[in-house]
Amino acid sequence: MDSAALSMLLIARDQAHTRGVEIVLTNPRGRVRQLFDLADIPAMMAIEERERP
Amino acid sequence: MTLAAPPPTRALLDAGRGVAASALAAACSRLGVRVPDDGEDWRRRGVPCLLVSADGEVELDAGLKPPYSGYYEWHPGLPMAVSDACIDAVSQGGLAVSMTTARAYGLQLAAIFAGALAWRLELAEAMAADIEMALQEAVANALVHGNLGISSEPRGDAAGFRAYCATIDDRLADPLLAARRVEVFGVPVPGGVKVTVTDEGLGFELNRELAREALVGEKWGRGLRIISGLARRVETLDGGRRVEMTFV
Repeated sequence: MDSAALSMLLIARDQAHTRGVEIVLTNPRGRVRQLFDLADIPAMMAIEERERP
Repeated sequence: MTLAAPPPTRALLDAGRGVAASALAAACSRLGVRVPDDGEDWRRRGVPCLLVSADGEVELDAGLKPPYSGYYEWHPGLPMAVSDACIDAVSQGGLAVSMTTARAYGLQLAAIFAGALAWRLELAEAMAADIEMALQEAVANALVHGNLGISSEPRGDAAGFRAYCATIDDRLADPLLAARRVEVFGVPVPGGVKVTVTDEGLGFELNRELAREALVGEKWGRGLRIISGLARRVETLDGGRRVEMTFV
């Protein structure tokens, strides 16, 4: 996972939005979570912590 | 008869697959290093040695493992331009890689280099992971924005992203751009390691790019912010063609 993948996530967010759909990132952990935080993704996409069933 | 001891040197250049030792002579003379003498036991004496090879992935792995301290990709027809910085890195106990854009693009160079560096310098797992993540961004920047001269700006939507990928393929097909080098060095410093990535592009201005990346909502350009968050110190030199990242 790198900043190119983050660009794709943000493009997917916009495409979903035009269809009335919101993408939610669930339970990001470890290095992925660190990358999201460093790149300020929590300010741009919904992130949820959910209990695993 | 006793063989004379080989002359001392700060580093050696060893000819790997597809390279004749005689082809290294000019580079050796310019850099003040030499090729190993016949039968010289440099492996046991621990003299830093750079593997010069036309082979790609296999010799890259070999060059990053003992007894070698680095890998320089060279093909007959390309200039033999081992840099002083490459020799400095290996002679300081570090690791060095110099590859063409054509070869480096599509390789997991960041992961390969960070893994080898962590093993060589016995780095803590967390620092090794930080280095890999930062290197991923720095190497991608060096290859795509530096050597291939592509702006990341068109990546605003899916069509823009496809166009961006197509531009990368077009530029890689240009032999002059594909032959531009990316160099990665990792050198021990007190308490950590300094990792350097150089390219042959037009360079950039770090603070201006960081300010541009701070525009929340843009879908491109987060690499430098990620690097700055991971490394203790980030500096650009040589007009932005060299990025130095210090991890402690």
